[in-house]
Amino acid sequence: MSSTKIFLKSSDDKTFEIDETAARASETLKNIIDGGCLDGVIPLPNVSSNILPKVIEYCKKHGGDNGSSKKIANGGVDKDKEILPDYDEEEDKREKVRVDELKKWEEEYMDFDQQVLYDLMLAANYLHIKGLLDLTVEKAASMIRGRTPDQIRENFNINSDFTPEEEEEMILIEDEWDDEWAFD
Amino acid sequence: MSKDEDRMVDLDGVTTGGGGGVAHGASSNNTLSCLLSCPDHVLENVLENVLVFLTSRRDRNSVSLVSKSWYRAEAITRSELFIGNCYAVSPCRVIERFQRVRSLVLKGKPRFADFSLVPPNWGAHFFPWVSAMASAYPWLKKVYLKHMLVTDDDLNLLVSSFPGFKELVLVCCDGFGTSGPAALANKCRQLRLLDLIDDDVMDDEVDWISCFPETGMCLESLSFDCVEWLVNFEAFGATGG
Repeated sequence: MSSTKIFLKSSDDKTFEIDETAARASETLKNIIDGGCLDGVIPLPNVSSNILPKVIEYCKKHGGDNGSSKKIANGGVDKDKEILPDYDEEEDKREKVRVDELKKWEEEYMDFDQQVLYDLMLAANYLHIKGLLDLTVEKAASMIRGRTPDQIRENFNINSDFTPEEEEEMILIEDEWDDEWAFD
Repeated sequence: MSKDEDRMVDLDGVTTGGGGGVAHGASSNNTLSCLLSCPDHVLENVLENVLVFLTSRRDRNSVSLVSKSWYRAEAITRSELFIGNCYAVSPCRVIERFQRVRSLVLKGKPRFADFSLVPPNWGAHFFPWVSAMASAYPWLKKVYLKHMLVTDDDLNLLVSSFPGFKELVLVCCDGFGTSGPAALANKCRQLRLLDLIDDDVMDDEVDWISCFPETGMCLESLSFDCVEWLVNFEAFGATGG
């Protein structure tokens, strides 16, 4: 089944092609398409040609539904599968294979460096692709978990804008907030 | 080993990717070049989304020490507040720093209060907290108090201030009678959980169990080991369990 082609123009004036069904994974693109103001090419001034193919790859994989593997594991239940018990089991198996395959795909898809992570987060945010935003944001969160403030700064290449005195005071305040009765 | 490799790749990515972004961005798009050259600005755009995935108190404390913008983003997104000592910080400073608190854990007297080693008027009043939060956090849903002095008036204020209130746990608290829980039962339509554990509850001669509405109740869990008198189980049966 072939669907209408949509053309997307990156910030550096390169044009990319995407199926309409895939483009609908993006809330922003979906609104443009449904709004009927489709004028040949959709310009995306916030997405560069480095990152747009990566975004399109995600949209293609996720077609009309824009959830991550977690969501599909819960949803996507066939309504009349209860009618035939055999079918039920088969469908479950197929569903499992599909979810496993998608998880593997996500793992490979998410194997990139930090600059791509930033760009992809921004693009997902701008294009309102919920599944992709969750995926990238969770990866960023995993770079924070269990780390000290110094390690977080190093991970994200951030310079603290606290003065040494401010920082010392902040640490004291945090400790104070954390104060708890011993043996409680 | 593989972790070290990751780190190297990460750092490379930042320098080459960032550098390339500047050169390329400068020619076409100023905003973009700024975004690519200052990763912390990039992150600021989506930082609130990232922080939603961080729930542990330790991680949140670390985040707020990273930079001023991270401090602000963390304060905006912290919905679960834990205060291990009600005298460590004032309610005023809490509501000044955090704007969207939905859930509060607050502890009062030290543990040896269990052995009558703390004088009766020692303090740990819930009142300053509930009155400050009444206007600051209208969407407050959960309160867990331990070793606090809670009055019936406090509970009445809680009932009238937070229309979506869902869960109250009072552990080793005192200062209130059965009319406090009665007000909760009567007016908190969204109440899902009410746990009274090892509290010192006074007898107000109020049949508080029959104050639960007969229909349209959300209550899923109710425990009150420490309330020894006047439990009208028949009335409770009538509420539909």
